[in-house]
Amino acid sequence: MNLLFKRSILVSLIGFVILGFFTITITQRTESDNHTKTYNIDATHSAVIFRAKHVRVSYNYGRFNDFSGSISMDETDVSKSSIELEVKAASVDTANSKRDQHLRSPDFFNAKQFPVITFKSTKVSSKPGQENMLEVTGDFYLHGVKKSITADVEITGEGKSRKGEAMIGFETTFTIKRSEYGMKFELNGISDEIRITVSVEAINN
Amino acid sequence: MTTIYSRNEKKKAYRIQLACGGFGIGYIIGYYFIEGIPTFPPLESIHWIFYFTILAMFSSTYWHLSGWRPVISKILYAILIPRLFLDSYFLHNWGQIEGFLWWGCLAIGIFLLCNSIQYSYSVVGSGNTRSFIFFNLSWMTAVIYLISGSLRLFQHTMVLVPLFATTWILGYIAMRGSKSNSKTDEDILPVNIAPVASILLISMWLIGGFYTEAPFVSMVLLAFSPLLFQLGRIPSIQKMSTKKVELIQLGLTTLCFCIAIIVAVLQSGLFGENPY
Repeated sequence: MNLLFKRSILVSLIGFVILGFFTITITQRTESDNHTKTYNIDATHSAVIFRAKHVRVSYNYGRFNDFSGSISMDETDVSKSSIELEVKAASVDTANSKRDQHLRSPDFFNAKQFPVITFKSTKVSSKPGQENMLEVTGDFYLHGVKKSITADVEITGEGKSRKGEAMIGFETTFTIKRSEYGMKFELNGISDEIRITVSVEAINN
Repeated sequence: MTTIYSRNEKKKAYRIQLACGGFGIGYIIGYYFIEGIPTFPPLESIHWIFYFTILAMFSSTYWHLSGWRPVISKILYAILIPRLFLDSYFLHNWGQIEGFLWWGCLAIGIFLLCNSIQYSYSVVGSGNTRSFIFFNLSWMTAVIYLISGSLRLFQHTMVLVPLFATTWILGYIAMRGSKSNSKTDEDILPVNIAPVASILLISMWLIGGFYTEAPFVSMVLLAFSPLLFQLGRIPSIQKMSTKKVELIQLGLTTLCFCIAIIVAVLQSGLFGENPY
């Protein structure tokens, strides 16, 4: 009887230890998950613009009017953060309808064959010694070609919307060579190097 | 007698190879200057044209023969071209049923076009008109691409213009050289040119219709015009004089071209403000 009692206590103790271990692990995970906030890009207060050099003389600017995306920010461990952006190629706008038609055609973006331009981060890290600066590496998909690129991303600000939702702002500028993405038409007239700037405001809603 | 026959056969075979090779290689040289060295698998639909031109040149070697080989080739082209050229539509735009419907309709259309172009190169006893019509068809297509904002496709189609012009001029010279106009077109230009001409024209229209902002109606009208060669099969038209048949074909195809260009201009403006 005494032996049975002792055994019961031992089993109960082991049970409590295991239960405690699980409780601690789950609590820690939940706490860790709570540090991650997901923001959706507010296209009204964001911009995706690009510039190309025209006949080696001047820079011409254009923008994309239709894009969306999300940012997942981990406040405690930035490496767990991620960024996704999707741009509709057909929404290219250079303030000249005939040029926009040409840019949408198979000469450039081939927007009907490759309707979206996407970016998906694969690695996010903070830049040592630089406050509010991130180094983001990811897959950039343009014109049917996927390439890994790395860009410095500045966290331009954080705040709250009128509704009390958390907001965050980012900006990055990087340069690509369009010929590497199979866009080789008229390389003499329109530069191979295209500078892209993405400035976003995202809301945790 | 056997020697004469064999010499004539050799001469005919040589002419077939020259015409088909010249047409296909002419386009491939043009392709190289526009696109550079082609990659495999092709990144864009436009790159498939290079590979299909080579296949068509191979098909040219047996196109004049009766039997199953030309028919099977036409069926294969009709099935493969829409599937490969419009891959992104199958992936992004069309559902399963819609995709199959488009595939089926386009395959039938391509098969009919291949047949009609072959017919125009073999049976129609209309002098050298069809070469002139194909020449017109190529530059009209090029103009529509220029209006609709694709200089790249304009360049590709412009490669076809001198090729069709050459066939027209060669046909004209051959006609003048002959003692009577009773020569059939086959005696002037071999039917073997048809697969290369068909594949190139169909490819241009398909890419133009689906990937540029050229009006779909214009592309359909251009693609429809070679089908008008089938008028030559109508018994009442067959009874007419060659000149009348020529006039009917020219008139109807010109009407198609004009409507196609007017629709393109209405949609995109003539050339608009020069963006460059």
